Amino acid sequence: MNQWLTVENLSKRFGGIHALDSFSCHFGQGEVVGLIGPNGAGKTTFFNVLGGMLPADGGSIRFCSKQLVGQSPHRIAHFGVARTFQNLRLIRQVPVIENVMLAFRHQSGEHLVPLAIRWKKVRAQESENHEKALAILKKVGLLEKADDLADALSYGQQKLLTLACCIASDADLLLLDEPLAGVSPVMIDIVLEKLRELKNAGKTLVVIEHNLEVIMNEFDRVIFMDSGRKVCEGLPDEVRNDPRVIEAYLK
Amino acid sequence: MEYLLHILILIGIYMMLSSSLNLVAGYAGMLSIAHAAFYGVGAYTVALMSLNLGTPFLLNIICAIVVCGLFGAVVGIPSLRIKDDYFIIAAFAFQIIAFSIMNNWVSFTKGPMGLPGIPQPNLFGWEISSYPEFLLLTVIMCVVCLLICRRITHSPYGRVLQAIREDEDFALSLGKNVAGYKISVFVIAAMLTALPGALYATYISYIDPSSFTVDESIFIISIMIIGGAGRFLGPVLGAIVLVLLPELLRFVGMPNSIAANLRQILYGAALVACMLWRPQGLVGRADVLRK
Ligand SMILES: Nc1ncnc2c1ncn2[C@@H]1O[C@H](COP(=O)(O)OP(=O)(O)OP(=O)(O)O)[C@@H](O)[C@H]1O
Ligand SMILES: [Mg+2]
Repeated sequence: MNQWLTVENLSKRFGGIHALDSFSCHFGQGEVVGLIGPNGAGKTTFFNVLGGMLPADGGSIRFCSKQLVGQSPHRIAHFGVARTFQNLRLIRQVPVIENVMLAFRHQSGEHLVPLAIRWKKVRAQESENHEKALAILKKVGLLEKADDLADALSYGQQKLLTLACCIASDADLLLLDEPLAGVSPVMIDIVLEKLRELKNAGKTLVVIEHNLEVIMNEFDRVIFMDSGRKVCEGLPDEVRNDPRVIEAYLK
Repeated sequence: MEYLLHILILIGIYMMLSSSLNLVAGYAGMLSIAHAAFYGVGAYTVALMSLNLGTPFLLNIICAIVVCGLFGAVVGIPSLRIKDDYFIIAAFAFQIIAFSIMNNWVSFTKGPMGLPGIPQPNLFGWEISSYPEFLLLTVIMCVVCLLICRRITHSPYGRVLQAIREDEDFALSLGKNVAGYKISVFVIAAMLTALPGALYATYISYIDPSSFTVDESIFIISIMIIGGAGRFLGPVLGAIVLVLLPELLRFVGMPNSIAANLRQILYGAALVACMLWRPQGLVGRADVLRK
């Protein structure tokens, strides 16, 4: 297993709560890893610390030989880390397509100097991105909603849209926080299909998930955490039958 | 006729002021109450330079833009890197301090007596002195200012500003340098106030601190909100409506002493009416100011 993303002794406290307690794990490129554990286990906190949204209290995160601890969130995103949020985040008052276009990296029109003196280039890139955004929306089945406000989408469609944003960002590492929670059964199949497509495209996916069926069928590997610690990891089958996992869910 | 031209020039000045504020407050969602202070810094820079140094108008404007930008950076950089709450306080503090300096540093700004006799502008040999000429200058400045605003708002940069207004964390997670955007747009807006500042100082040919008070900032904010914050055309329309509204009062024969007070009431009423029936402003989308 190549050490593409290595997390060592990551710690995060909120007052007396150890949301992450010497949490260590590693991910190989192209893996689809399930991150599971009871409520309050620290899963979302792990994503927040990994993405730089919360400062770590200790430990290290090495991603493609870069140290992520101590970096600002936008730098980390630029390294190729994208995420979705458990409490859906989108720019609701702008059209769906604008959300996707926002997600592209390296847009020259986002900087003032090219905006002032290289307007032609900015315009050209913008129309190129517009086409790309339409293609992505088509892929996730939101093409006919492209010009609606993001707010007007159903919950499941909004989750698809956040996935579309991840696709647009072309990140290599995707952190998906419960992408299926609250989504209708029909929509679940669509989302799962998109996840498989992302895997086939060589992306690395870390997915927080509670649904046992999904855990068993979709993930290459599962990490089980509780109280901020990694309890065990392995193939979905192994983790499912691990006595410590069963105990954690019973307590 | 001159009266009409005067009103049109005023409308132009407020269009520039509220459109530049709109970049910061309407698009990026940071309500700054210091806009009149920057406007004052621009006006005083132009007035002091032309009175004391006799430098040409264009150079004065350029210096005013730079000075406004520097003050914008001084206010914005420390506060916007931390939290929006600090920014609101820093902007308010700057408004108060800038006014105090204009009002109290008598040896430099002449204090409440103001600066009379500001020379009329001269652009490449074009002496601007009559009303139509000032209107032409206003139109030129307005077009430049609005073109800059439009370039900014209708671009990927403007899209990021809106994203910051709606959800900073989402923008961060997509790799946008949120603090950088906030600071840069705030500095740009401050720089843009130099244009109406220069115009006002040379057009009226007299400035005193009372034109750059908190009240003036609130008036600029009202124009933006009533017109429609976060829309390019919002402040344009808002400036027309709010500058014309009190003039209409005068038209129906209201004595000046009453009209002046009624003006304040009218602005208040217009704001309240807006909040009740069109919180998005005259041309705005719904919910832009929800947060
Ligand atoms: N910003 C915060 N401030 C204080 N405490 C927090 C904060 N974020 C998380 N916590 C606490 O840290 C612990 C871990 O929370 P976290 O959200 O990471 O859990 P989770 O595994 O994502 O749970 P869930 O399955 O419910 O989403 C919880 O006890 C939570 O109350
Ligand atoms: Mg969670």
